[in-house]
Amino acid sequence: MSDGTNARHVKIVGSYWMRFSLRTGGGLTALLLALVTGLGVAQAFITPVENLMKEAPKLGHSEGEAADSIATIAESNEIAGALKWITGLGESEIEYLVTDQPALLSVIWIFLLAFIPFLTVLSAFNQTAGDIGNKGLRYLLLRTERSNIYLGRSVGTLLFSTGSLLLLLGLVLVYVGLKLKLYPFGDLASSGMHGFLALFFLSLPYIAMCGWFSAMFESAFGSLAICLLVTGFPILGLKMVNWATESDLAWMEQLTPWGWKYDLLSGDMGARLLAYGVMLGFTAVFLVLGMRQFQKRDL
Amino acid sequence: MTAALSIRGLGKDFGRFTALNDVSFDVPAGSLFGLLGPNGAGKTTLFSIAAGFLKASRGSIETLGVDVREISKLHGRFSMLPQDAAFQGGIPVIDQLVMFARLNGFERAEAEGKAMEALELVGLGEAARRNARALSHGMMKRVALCQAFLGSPEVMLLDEPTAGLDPENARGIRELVREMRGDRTVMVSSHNLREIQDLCDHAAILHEGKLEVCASMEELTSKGFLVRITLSEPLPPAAAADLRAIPQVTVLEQTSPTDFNLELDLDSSDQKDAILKVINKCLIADHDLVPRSLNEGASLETRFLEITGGTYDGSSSS
Repeated sequence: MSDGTNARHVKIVGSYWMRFSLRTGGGLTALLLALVTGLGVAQAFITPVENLMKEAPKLGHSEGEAADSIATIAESNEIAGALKWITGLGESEIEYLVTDQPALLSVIWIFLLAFIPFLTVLSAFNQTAGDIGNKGLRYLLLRTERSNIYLGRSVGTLLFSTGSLLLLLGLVLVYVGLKLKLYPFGDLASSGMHGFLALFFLSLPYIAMCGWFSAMFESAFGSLAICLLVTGFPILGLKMVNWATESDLAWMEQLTPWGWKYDLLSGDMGARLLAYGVMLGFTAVFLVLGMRQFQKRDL
Repeated sequence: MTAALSIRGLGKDFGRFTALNDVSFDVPAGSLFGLLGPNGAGKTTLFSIAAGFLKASRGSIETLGVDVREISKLHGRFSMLPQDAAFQGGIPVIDQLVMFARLNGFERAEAEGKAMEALELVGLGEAARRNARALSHGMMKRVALCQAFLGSPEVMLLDEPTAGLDPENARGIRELVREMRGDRTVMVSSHNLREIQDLCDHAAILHEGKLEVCASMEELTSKGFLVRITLSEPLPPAAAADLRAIPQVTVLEQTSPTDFNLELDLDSSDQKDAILKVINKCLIADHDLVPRSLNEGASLETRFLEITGGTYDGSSSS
């Protein structure tokens, strides 16, 4: 990190970047997409449960009986098997998610974890690329060190992305808590915190990675394209390589944040802390690479 | 002479293309310094290196004794009007200027005052709340200039400050720059040679990435000083001969029967008035001719064309 890094300047650049993001088309689009996608995912799981709860009185069951039935379905072997197949987690981990934690929320968090990298890319791909292209960074360069601009933009993006995440999770929790009344407040709060931390830690390396690519390009579109390609590679690219070579390269997923995402929801504190640590490690590596790129390039 | 900017052996390569090659000169503190050169001469590249936007391939630049790699240490003592740098679209210009002022070291309330003051200085006080996308090219240019004026910097680099402005606005900007004489060091690049000659006390001419000359305006213009004269009647041969006989007159060129240019070789600009008196006496007293107009020609232009081989096209810069 450069000697000229100045916390006040990082704060100024970061806070203005977040505010400017909220007031410009790009930021608002990213926020809207995050909410639409996130709430869409949540709705896909909430609607059947909501319908079941609505129909229960007509079938002569109380809300409590309906809730018990939902819990029984959630703990069934079929649901556990499906979640195991999706996440690759062990049986005890799945049991933790569907019995110790509110099952409905756990399922929503699991699916959101698969979407968060892409939603993060949409809010983080243009940290510097567009302003390198239109030379807008030059007004900042006259006043502060490159490291302050880079870190400030990263922090601003993180705040924006975290704000979007909190808004999304808040809406889901309020809806599930007030409308469905399936789970006690304590369970909702615990699962909400668990889910938030998982999604937050998963978004960190993607913000840092987007910052790195954004510092390489002079076009926001170029940065977006490469960020999406790299984020999607473990999902599509590795599967295609696996298929073409008939070899099992699934272990390579572990070389990317994607391969660790479900460990962020683990019931085992050790495994969860390790996953948090891995995310921070990826973030640090991408941050250093991005900072070096930004420091040495012509702007 | 104290140097506000000191440029030593500066070079910049873009791949195989050398944009600047071994450029060295000093910009005296408190001077209005003009940087001239045809397209591709390296003016904007030099400005961009001086501001830390581009990394030099060779050599160094010091501003107020601070190496360009640590330019942000100058915290508001240095500013620049970059060419073609965009503001954030969709955001009011005042908000962006406040952010710049805060990075210059001012607290929020003070920064708001400074930003408003700078906007009023360039005549844009009423446009403060308008978003950057809604401003015309000329207004954006003035906003860009306004950010350079934020917080009274000691050294300012202005890259084509009047390009794209209407004549009234351009004159206003020239007046603003002129008022800074002595208080601040201002380095201006422009394609308007007349503007540089009127405004600046020193100038450097770049050509194909190399420094061709760096001198005071007096030194640059005393050789080849041009006077354009229009008479009420054709210049008689006897009068032309008498004018040629004045020792300082090196060239007499008739552009029409009544119009002619005199190129003078002066030891110093102090000599200017004395020679003009001799010329007037020759025309009025000796030959009973009435000069309808007598203008100083663009002698910097003559010098510029001499150096660059007539490649000046007066459009954009490199």
